[in-house]
Order: sequence, then structure tokens, then C-alpha cells
Amino acid sequence: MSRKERMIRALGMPEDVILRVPQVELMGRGHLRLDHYKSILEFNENRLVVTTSQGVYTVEGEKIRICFAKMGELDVEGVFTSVRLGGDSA
Amino acid sequence: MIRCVNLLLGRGIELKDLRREEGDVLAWISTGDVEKAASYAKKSGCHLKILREKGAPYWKKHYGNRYGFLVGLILLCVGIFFWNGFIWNIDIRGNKTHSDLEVRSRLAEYGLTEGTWKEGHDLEKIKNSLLLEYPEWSWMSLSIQGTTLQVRLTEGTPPPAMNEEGDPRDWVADRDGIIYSIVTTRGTPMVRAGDVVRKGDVLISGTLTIPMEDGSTQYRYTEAAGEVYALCSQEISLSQGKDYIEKDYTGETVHELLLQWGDSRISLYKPFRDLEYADIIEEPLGREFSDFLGEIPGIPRIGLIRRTYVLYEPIRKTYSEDQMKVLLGTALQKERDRILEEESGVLTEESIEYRGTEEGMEGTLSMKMMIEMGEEGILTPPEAQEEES
Repeated sequence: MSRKERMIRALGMPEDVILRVPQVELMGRGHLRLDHYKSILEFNENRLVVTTSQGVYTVEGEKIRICFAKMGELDVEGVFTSVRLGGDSA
Repeated sequence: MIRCVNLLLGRGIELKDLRREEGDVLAWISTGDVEKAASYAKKSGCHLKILREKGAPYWKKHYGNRYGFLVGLILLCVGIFFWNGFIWNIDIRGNKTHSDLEVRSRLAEYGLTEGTWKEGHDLEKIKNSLLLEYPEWSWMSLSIQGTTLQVRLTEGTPPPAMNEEGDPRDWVADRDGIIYSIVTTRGTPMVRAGDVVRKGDVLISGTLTIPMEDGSTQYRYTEAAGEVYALCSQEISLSQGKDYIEKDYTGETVHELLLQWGDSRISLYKPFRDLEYADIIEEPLGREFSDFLGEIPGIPRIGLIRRTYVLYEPIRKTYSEDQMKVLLGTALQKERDRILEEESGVLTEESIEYRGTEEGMEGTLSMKMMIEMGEEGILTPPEAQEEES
């Protein structure tokens, strides 16, 4: 844990906001919301790979599309088969 | 390609509905960001192509300098606003005793008709005036919803008519009969149940006899009123001829063409043959001019009529006695029902007698019925009553 993290915890400040820790919100198998991502590495109908401060997130499935995208915020729809932390294992 | 997307997002450009299609990336971006996006795309070695445009900025870009269109749009809005300023429909509900037409004509007197300007009507005042005018309307509401004037009515039970005393009079028998019951509401009863009365006899006298303390008698006069029920007899006689003609239809029909001009008719084509024994059927041929033009005042109805003669051979026949009885019986009963309906009477007794005549048969129906008896009569002064008695 870095000094910055320790200080934020000690002060009771929200980590996700200050440290821009990625947040993943998955609704069922069809809707995913990802905050505090850094950049998109790969995107097609079956796969979305993004980088965050905590590493790589991979979403796999069918008919994947990004409903809304802006800096640090992604709203994704599709039929997901897996959402995992980590890069390409396939 | 992904580098370009990251660059756009990193520069604060928002992307919507981002998807891959055959190697391309499709997305919706704001019109204001298009130029920026194009330069960033160029930097990242990609080419930005606009496939479709929509929304207000697109309309402004394409039609913003078309002033005619703009003026038309403004005129349309003004027209709609102007159109909404009028009453175009009157919806009347709840009226039972007064027709829609009557209510409309009353509203029209206050200036509320279709096609009038909505503003400037004091609906509350009009409502109060109408409620005063029609006491049978217990509640009323007038409101304008959109372009419709909504009239809602609730009719209450009408108050009983005041039985105001009129000029002094007697209540006299309007026919012969036997009194069944008498209830006097005003005046002095002159008959009792079971009395036989002749037409013109006083049933209830309008003279009130008041005995005074000194032994003398004073008279007051009133409008005699009451309910008198009596049993009355009536006879109905009808006759039935024995000869009649039976139609033997030949199956042959003949047509005649007529021109209708108002109430008069002109024959355009008449067949040259004897049409004495034929049933006549008339039907309009095609449509009248008024069907197309409507009823025009001063212009008579014009149209063609086809008259069809259905020919028959007359066969002279004679009714049997039983047939004549049936026919006479039916006709007598029909006449009896008509009289009972007219008199609002209740049948208590009846008998029918048939008598043969040279021409056929004559039938007489004798009946007794209970009716409400009496009519207004001239007041008989007490002296005359004494003389009569």
C-alpha cells in the first residue's frame, strides 16, 4: 500500500474518487458500467479490453457495443460470457 | 483505430453507440465536436466520415437559411394558436327534457356558438342565467376544454304544479254513467257512489254553503275539483260486406317512367294497356339531384321514378259466415282498444252480437268501462239548485 493510499484511508476520504480506483458495475449479463478506466486496448463485437490503474479488464461475449463513452467512463451492453481482471489469456 | 478512439475520448469528446462493423468504428458524436474529431482522427492516421446527421443542429445547418420555411413554420404556429382561440364544438350531456338543438339555441342567444372566439364570455353569468331560466335544471356546468364548449346538465325532479284556484265553476258529467267513487278536493259533492248520472249533471258543485250563527246561510263560490270515477256503457257497430275480390297474379309486370318535379309528376313513358287491375310499386330511379347538391331553397326536388304495375286477374268471391264473424270481431276489438286508449278507461264487461244483413253482416260490441268522469261546467247558483231539487 502506497503512502498516498495509507494517508487517504487514515483521513477517511473516498478512495475511488481520490485514487481513481476503477469501479465495475455489472447488471445481469447484459449491462456493464466501468468508471476510471484509462484507455481501450481492444474493442470488437466479442471482446472489450481496457486498461485501468489496477491493471487490465477483459469483457467477453456477443454483440458487445459501447452505449456511451467519455474520458474515464464506459457504458457497455451486450451478452457477456465473462468479465475478468487480467489481459489476454485466450 | 482504437488509438483514434482513445485520443478522442482523452480530448473530452463523448461517443455514443460505439460499435465495430467490418473493421470500421461507428459512433454518434456531437455536431460541435465533428471538426475537432476530424483533426484528431487525421493525427492518428484515421479518416472520419459522416454517415448520417440528425437533431436540431443538423436542421439549423441545412434549413437555417431557408426563410420561407421558417416563415411558414411561424405562420403554422400562429395559425394553430389562432385556430385554438375559437369554439369549434359544443358537447352537451345530461339533457333529457330539452333537446340538444334547444340548448344550443339558448346558448347562441348568449353568443356561444361554434366558430365564436373563446375569450370574452362570462360562462359563470351565462350558467346562472340559464339555471334561473330553466328551474328543472338542478345543476349546470359550462367550461371550455381546448376548442370544445362542454355543457353538463343534471335535471332534477320537476316541482309539483301548484293547484291554483281559478274562476268559480261546477264539475259536471261529460257522459251518462253510474258513479263508482268520488273524491272532492274543492267544492261540494252532489252525487254518491252508485248514483246514476246523465250528461250535464253536476257532480261537484262550486257553491260552498256556510251556515251562520244567526241561522242564516251564506254562499261562497269556488272552482270545483275532484276525482270522479264512473262506469259507462258504450256500443260500437261495424258492418262487413260479403263480397270481395281475390287477386290472381298473372306474373306480368309493366313499367312506367315518371319525372318528379317538386310535388307534381310527369309521365315520360306510359304503357298502352289497361292497368285497372294491378298493384302499383314506386321506387326512385337512380339518385335525385338534391343527393348531390343538397336541398336548395326555391329549387324543387327533381328525380326519376319507376312505377311498376303488377298485374292480376280479379276473382269475385264471397266470405262465409264464420269468416265474416272473424273479420268483424277483429275490427270491433281494434276499435274498442282505440276507444279505451283514448278515454284512458279500463274494460269491465263486453259482449258482441252479430246480425246478418243483405250486404253481409253487422256486428255490435257492447262494453262497460271504468273512466275518470267530468268536465268544467258553468256554476249553478244556489237558487237554481233549490228550484231543480
